[in-house]
Amino acid sequence: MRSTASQGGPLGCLDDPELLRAVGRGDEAALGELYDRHAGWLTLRLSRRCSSADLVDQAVQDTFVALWRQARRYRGDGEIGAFIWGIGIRRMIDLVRRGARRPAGRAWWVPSWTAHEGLVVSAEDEVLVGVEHGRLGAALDQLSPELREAMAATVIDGLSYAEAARLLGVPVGTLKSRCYRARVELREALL
Amino acid sequence: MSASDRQSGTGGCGTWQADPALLARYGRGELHGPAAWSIEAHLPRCATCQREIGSHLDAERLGRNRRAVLAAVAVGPPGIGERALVRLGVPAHLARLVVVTPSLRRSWLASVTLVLAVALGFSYLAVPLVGARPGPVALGLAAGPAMRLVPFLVLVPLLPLAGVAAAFSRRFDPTHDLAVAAPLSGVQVFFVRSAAVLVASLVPALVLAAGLPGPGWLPAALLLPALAVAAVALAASSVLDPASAAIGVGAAWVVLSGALGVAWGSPAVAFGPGGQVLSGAVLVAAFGVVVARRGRLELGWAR
Repeated sequence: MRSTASQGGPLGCLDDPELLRAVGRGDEAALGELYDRHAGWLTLRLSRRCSSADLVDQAVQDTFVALWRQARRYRGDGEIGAFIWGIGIRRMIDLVRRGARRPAGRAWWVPSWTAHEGLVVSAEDEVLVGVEHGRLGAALDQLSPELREAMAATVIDGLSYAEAARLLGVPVGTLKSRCYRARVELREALL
Repeated sequence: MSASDRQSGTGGCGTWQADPALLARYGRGELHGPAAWSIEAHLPRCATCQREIGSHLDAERLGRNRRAVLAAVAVGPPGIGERALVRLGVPAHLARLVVVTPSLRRSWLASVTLVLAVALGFSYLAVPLVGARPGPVALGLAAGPAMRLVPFLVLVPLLPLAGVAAAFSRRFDPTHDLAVAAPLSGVQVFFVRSAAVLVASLVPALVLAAGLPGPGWLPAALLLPALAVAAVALAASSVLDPASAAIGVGAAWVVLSGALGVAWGSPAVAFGPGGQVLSGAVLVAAFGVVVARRGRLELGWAR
């Protein structure tokens, strides 16, 4: 769903960093426009990592509320999409982890801005765009689901070992060794 | 196409463009493995594909979340009190309902404390006014010193009373319409708010009472009469509107305790052993009335 504003209104002409700066000045319409652009893919992508639609909705909502509260501190570098993903996936992990304990709690968790800087356009992303053509795609296809999962959480989602382990529900040691094995297998398949 | 790509910032679609069919499969959750990874790495940066993928989502769900985000942003973050209540296990919607109670605002509680502090000061500074007079001893105090406590003793039951009245007055409560429309029964709102107001206004009263001249158990002796007065007012508001009930019961308290004080020769008699027994009986009776007539205790009951 997209609002009519994004089709031709003045906000529709702004790019993402300009919108985020407008959000930082307290412009609610700009937040709505950012939501219209990014909520769709964020919802889909989070849905692939959590089967509870309620938790996904909660994470999406919290992400944009966090964006609102933190926008003033945005320094104007880095991609907004990657940044939004960084907030969303960490919020998701947080909700999954304590979802059973406090389902009704309205969380106002706010991420620290600096925590996401590692996420902003990684070299892995550059390589991965278009990865399904060619040898790397074939090699990835041969990995076992556990190894692929571990690679996806650390490489695609940009999570630390500890965060990825929490998301996948395995001990950190297990996750590290899976990532190591995945890298070894990929290297062997490619060389 | 390239013009709109630039919307998403620095990236743009570049040379790689997601196949619409691939996007559709991703949108339906049918795509796995490296192809799905590619889409996921690509989507955050490409305005065109972002627009495209939006059509694969439930518009109503996106709209619902959008409204929730904008509402949360408009309301603002919860204060310290609300966060503390939620942490204690109070459901979030109930916590919000409690903290917006007019007589739980910081300004209200501050004025309650200020009024009581003045009364407390009076009990120390009024010695020349009242002087030491002979008389019967009540609460371990001779009649003379007890006179100095009068303002404080009269006020302690009156302040929770005013708080309860304000908590349910349309005039003071900007959220009155919201509270009436809340997905809770009016009685639930009524009890939750009354309890919160009583606790919030009695705590400063009892803390300050510890500073009163007199025996150490004096603060405890204030509790039962104050609760009884508030309970009578709550019971009365099943008949009258809350402001009239509070004013009536408050006046009755002043007259009754004054009359008792004059009859016994000591103003503190309402808080003595006899007063405690009487207060306890009144409290139980009033609570019985509140429970029996709870159907009338809706927020909008002032009809």
